Amino acid sequence: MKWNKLSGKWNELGGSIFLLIIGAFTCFEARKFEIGATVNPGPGYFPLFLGVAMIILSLAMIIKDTMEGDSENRSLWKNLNWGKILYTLIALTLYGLFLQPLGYLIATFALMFILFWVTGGQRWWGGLISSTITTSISFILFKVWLGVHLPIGLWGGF
Amino acid sequence: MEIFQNVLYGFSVSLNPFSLLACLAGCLIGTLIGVLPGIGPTATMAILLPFTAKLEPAAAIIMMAGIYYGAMYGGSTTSILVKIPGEAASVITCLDGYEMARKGKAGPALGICAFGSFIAGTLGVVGLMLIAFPLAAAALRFGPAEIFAILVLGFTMITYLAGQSKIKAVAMAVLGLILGTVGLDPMTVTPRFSYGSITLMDGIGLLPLAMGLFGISEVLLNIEEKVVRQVFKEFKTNVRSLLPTKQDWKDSAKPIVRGGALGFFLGILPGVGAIIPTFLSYGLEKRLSKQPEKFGTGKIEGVAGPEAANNAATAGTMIPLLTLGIPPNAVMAVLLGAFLTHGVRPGPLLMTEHPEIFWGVITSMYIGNFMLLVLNLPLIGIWVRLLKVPYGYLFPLILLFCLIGVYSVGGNNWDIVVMLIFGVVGYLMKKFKFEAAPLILAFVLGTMVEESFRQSMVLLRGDLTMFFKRPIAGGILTFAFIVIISPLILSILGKIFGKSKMSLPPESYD
Repeated sequence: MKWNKLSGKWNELGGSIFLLIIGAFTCFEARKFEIGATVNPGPGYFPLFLGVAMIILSLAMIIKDTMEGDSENRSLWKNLNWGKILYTLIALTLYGLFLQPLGYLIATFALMFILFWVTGGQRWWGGLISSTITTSISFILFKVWLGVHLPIGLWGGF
Repeated sequence: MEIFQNVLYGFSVSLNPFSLLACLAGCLIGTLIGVLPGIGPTATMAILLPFTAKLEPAAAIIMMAGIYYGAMYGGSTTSILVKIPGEAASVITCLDGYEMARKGKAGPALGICAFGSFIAGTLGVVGLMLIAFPLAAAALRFGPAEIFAILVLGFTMITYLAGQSKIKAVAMAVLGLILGTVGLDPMTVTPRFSYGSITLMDGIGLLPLAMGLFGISEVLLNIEEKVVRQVFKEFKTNVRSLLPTKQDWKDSAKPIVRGGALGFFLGILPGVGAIIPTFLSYGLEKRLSKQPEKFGTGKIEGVAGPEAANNAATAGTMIPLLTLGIPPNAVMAVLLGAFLTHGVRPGPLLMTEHPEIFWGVITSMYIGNFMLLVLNLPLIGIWVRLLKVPYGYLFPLILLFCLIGVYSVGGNNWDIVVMLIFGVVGYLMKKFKFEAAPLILAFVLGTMVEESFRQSMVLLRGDLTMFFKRPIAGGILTFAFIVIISPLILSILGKIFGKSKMSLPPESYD
């Protein structure tokens, strides 16, 4: 019971606490630049003002959420397919890392296969077909037709 | 007479083959994404922005604008047939549109949406043409103080009209301004928050930020849940079945005109966009109706008015961007990005420095409205079939477009990383109920806000009260102040005069 109330509160406060950290960080870093005066603001003036504003706003949100009493026990992660989100994010991150070394064709084919098969719920052969079609058409559309510069990667060795 | 000559010049630009093709592409893509829930015009425009770099500036802007008002047409289709709004601005259409479809009147509902949108959209463009010209001329007299005052009003309206929490909307605007300070200081060119990185010295790119916040986060939210779509089987797709009857026209004519006027004038105001006018139009039609209790059961006025409002609003929202260079909402912020990508600065000088873009875009909206009327009626059957495409096929394509789009700008993996980071940020923002629109708007306007404030302080010798001594700036800031304190004033007046007289009747907004 207590954990549910705490996690409900965390859901409400998590964002506000994060913004408080952002505000404090901004103020701290803004001091490194010349602040100037109101008659001639320096490069640090505006960030410092924004950092202070963010601190005030996030404290106001924290106080408001704390004083509102028991919040609804809303769980942000229950009954959701958050595994799909993790797989998708991992796949996209790896794509970003390996796009240039592997090249567009190989990296995109691998990404599309994972997205269609693992996250999209298709069968493996359906994923293979879909990713082959998608990679080919997108290559023709972007590289050939639109002239977008796409990395060659391993194909450059041939 | 001068306006007439400018309009003719505009048509000479918008009727050339490339511009026509761009307009058609924008309208088609806009209608498509309007039909498909899960991706909106803001994300689509952000995703396609890098690909328009190859086009002429006028054609690129024409296409982007086509996506925006095309999405308004497309959004109503799913609202009526499936009770799932394709766009946020089509939410209210679900109420009576879906009920009309249940009673076998899906055709007239879709038909009146298309015709009503066409009429209101066209009237909106006429209004845009008539107001933009004198407003741009007046804006030439605006100095940094006036620009700063307008920006303050814009932020005030965004927070006042925030859907959920006003304090959260302000916090998001402040966060957007903070993100906008990364890079080189606009006045002294001092690197800020760059930590020796050349990439960070360029600042955070608008494209990775917008694609992440609106594109990636939307996909993440959609794949975590399943949406079951069921489409009516009895729906006829021939054009005759889509034509409203004489009685339908009689019932819809005044709502279309009222909704169009409401949408256009409200759309001009910073922070309003196309969504709020639809709600207000619905409330207005219900209040004026002889049978208000029947709203929500399939009244055609409840469809005609709001749909006219959202299409007219798209023309209204173009006015601050084209004449003042200030985007009034997130969609226009991305359109500003399109202008800047082509090295064009919208504002009072756009009309004189790039008349082909100014008048070309305005006249293309006439053409676009006509194209959409032609597209939406006969092709409704095809749009409906697209609804049956499982999201498992669509989202990998959306993600691929995002990745290629962001990579194609600079060929830099860093942009992909930034996009993914903001994708996660946008996803968490939605979870914690923080709105993304104030953030993106503030981010785009951040440099303008800081520059205009600092220039004003130098010119006004640091005296903040001087803002109020300048008539235009003072008037705008006073209005912004009234907007901020209006909830408090209304609350006090309500206690003085009694709650029953001051509050709206409970049945106004169901």
